[in-house]
Amino acid sequence: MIVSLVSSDGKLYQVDEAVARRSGVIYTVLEDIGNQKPIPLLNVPSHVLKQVIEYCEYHRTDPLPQDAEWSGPARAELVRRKAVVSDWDKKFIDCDQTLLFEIIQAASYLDIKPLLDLGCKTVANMMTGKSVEDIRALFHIENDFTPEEETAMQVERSEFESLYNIMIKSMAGGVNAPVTSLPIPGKARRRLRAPHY
Amino acid sequence: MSSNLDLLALPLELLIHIFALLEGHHIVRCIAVCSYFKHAIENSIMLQCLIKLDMFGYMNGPGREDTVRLNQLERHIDSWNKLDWVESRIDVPRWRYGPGVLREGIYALPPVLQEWYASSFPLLTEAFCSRRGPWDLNSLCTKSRSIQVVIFLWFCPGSPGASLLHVTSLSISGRFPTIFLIQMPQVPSFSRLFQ
Repeated sequence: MIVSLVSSDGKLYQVDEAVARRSGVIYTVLEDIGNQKPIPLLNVPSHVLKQVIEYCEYHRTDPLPQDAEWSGPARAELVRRKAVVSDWDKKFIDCDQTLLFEIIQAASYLDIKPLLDLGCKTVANMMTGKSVEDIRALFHIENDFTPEEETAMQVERSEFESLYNIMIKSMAGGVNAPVTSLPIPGKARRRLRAPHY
Repeated sequence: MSSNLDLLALPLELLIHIFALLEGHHIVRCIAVCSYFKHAIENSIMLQCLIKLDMFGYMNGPGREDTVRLNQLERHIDSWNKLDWVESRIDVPRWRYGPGVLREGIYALPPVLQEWYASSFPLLTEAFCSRRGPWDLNSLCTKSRSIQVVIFLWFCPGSPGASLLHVTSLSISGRFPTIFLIQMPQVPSFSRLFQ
């Protein structure tokens, strides 16, 4: 069976039903109204849809994720731990940022969870270990804080990070780990209680 | 969909989903990037929980799910917060212990107090209940006769030169007159217990 999909700019794509059904939205459409007319995808332009179809065709034989596995609070954790990304996926997602975000948004719109996770994981990996300035430069984000806000946040952040580093050090080195800076326990404890800022 | 889409144009829930894949200390760093990030992170309960778990070294703690670990962490913090602390500092000129021998835990506790401690701090007791350390408790007791129990909470930094100890005392009901809690000047590392 062939399913016809129409992108937002009016291009027609014809794909196998098994491929189209990888999208939760198209799956529901096919179940509900059947495969009679081309399905319009108003939020997905053709160059993105092409990529998404390519992904779905490559992964057409993968098992569809079960609902229980892909919802609930454990979901993000599951993705975080499943660190292995296949070579094909890596090559597929290695594109410019605009396309990457468009793919993420399309995957979210079309409800293709593995692709969504692949995209989000890629963005998260880009952010990991970067400094604030690096992240701003990487994603072309303007700094819209006032200088006062910024210094206040810097102080908070350096306090957090020094505490965090001491914790990591004491975990790694055990009891004998050398301590270079000593926080005042009372203050430190109160700060640990409310790490939201 | 606009042709030049960037990270800030993503819907909030997708942005949060991306942040949730980061580790806690990286999420904290993202707060300072711009006000939209700040807003997203500060208003997401899930992200706050992730930061908290990471801050306390609970990321790889007991329990398979974040929620289970978070419950344990909350319970642990609650136990400490319920105590009625009075803070003071004493100067101990020669604190006799070898480097690294004192550990987080309770030492020299009477059985009844062990029970209380076990019910209040379930995560700590198994490993360290009533272990006697090789420090000189007597000399500490002569300084203040009211010391009944000593709990070492923080790690010993391993240097006998750290003479100024942070002492916190608290009273629990009528049964146990005073407990002195002596904190070594270092942050706790509860996660070590779970490895």
